[in-house]
Amino acid sequence: MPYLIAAGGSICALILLLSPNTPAASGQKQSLQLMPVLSLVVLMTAYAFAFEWLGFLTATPLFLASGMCLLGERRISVILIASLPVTAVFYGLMAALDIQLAPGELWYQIGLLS
Amino acid sequence: MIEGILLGIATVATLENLALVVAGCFVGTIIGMLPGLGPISAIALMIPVTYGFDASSGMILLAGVYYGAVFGGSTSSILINAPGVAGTVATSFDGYPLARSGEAGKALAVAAWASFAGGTIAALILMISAPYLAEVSLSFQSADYFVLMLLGLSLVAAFSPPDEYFKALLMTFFGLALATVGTDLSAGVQRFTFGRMDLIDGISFVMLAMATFALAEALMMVLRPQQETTEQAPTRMADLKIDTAEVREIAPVISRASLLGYFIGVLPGAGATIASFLAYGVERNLAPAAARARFGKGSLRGLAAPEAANNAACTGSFVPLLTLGIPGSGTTAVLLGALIAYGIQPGPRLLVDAPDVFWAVIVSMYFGNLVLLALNLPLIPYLARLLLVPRTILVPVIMFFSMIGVYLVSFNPFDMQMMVFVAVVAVCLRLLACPMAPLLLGFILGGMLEDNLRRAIAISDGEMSFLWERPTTLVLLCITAIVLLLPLVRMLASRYLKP
Repeated sequence: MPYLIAAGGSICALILLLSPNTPAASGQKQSLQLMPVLSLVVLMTAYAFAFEWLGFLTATPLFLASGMCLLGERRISVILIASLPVTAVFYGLMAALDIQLAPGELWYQIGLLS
Repeated sequence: MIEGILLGIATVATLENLALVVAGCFVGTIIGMLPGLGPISAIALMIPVTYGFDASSGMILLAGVYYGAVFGGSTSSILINAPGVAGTVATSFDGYPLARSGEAGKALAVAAWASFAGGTIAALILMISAPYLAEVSLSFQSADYFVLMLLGLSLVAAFSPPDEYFKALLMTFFGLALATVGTDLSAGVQRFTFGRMDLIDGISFVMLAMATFALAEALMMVLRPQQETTEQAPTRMADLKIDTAEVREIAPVISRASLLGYFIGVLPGAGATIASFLAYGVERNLAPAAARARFGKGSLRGLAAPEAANNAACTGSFVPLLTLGIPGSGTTAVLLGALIAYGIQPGPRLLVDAPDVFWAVIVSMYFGNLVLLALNLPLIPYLARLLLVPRTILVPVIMFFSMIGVYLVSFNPFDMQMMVFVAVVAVCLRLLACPMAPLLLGFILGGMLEDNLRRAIAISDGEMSFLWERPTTLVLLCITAIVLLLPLVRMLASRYLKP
């Protein structure tokens, strides 16, 4: 089965490569904002790796706040008002449904949680 | 049958069960609206809550959550182009452009009415036909399923714009290839897992859907900031009304799409996704040229068709579950698990052994649709406010919900890490103008496709003759071939006949 799929995919790719029409692809070259996207990707990777370590309640507000900062939001009140309630409400919703989100490995190691 | 319906009404029309329908729809809508959480996660989250109830009350609540989540998914598809479920991907094709052009209110209203009509029509047919439909489904064999899925995949490619035909096909193959990751269930061999435990169960569908749609869309918002100006165009929220001309335009669309959606939902393995894509494609081909040009740019027909079809298919997908015990989709697979947890074995004997459960579920569909309309239409103006949230806040929140939604399915941070990678790939593919929907469909159907092919080959002793031995299979196969070749013929014809 994987061989069949690979064969089919390769045929399509070849046809696409060999077909002469490429106006659609090259027609709409705009200035792409690469930097913020790359930094967001780095931020998401960091969040994904830090999630279990820092725990949901620590990592999420940090993630949301730094995401907003990266996108150019400078008003601290707005950042706080937007990031903290999202975390709290989501945590509350999950707690009500008896779902334990990662409490954070770090806090166990330091001794804050046991 | 009449006493069955009466039994169902008697079961549902208690104060407790009616409250459960309302609660289920409400919770489902909220969960479904969050990008990243679709019906599967919504139902999975609610199953522990229902353990305290008896089987019929539990199923009524879960069915309510199902419809609510599907509707909520349409809402987030329309407003932020982040379908939580594959079944509402087609909704975003026209719903999102409508919302972007400042008609979010109208789009949501059309979606609500189309869902209501689709769900209600399907519930009525289900009531009448459920006992007989089992026989039709039973006559389908692995070979038929295999060819049917091939047909579904070909249709998606065939319905894409001509210059994207090969890209769509390529994406389908890409999706199929991704579906082969994980343990090969019939041989027990691990494929493409790179020795990682996290990949043994394969790639999670929710992860893929979120990464290619919600996350990629959030990143595209940042990548192409000039889209932002239209993004924040003031939404005419008061405009929830649909005028008579528009009703006349979408009414036939809704009735056709409901019938189509229902019958596709009945086929095990098909379900809401194929139904909505098919309905979208069929309506685009049926529409007069002027209306066809509006498809993908905010056509009311293009919005009503998949909405009616996916709700009808949700109802239809209960048929194989209730009559055969075969889940028609991921969502009904979760429901199957719930039924078994209540100590009820779904299958041909359900109607005899537990008629109250069978009919209560069917009747609750009707009530559920009423509740959705009564609950969702008034709430629409508040939902539309989501669009007024500035991009600097919206993007991180979408990213958060996508990532946490993926985490909630597997509780494995590896999925979140892989998701970021997939999202980057998806953004690159989007920049190359590759459609994402065929990839998802290929991925969903890939596992089942391979499974049924294996079984069909095993049944026919390793021969490929199963493809043409039975008339049903042969007919389906011929339709597939025509569907695949037609765009090619059209393309060649336009190139050589009109130089």
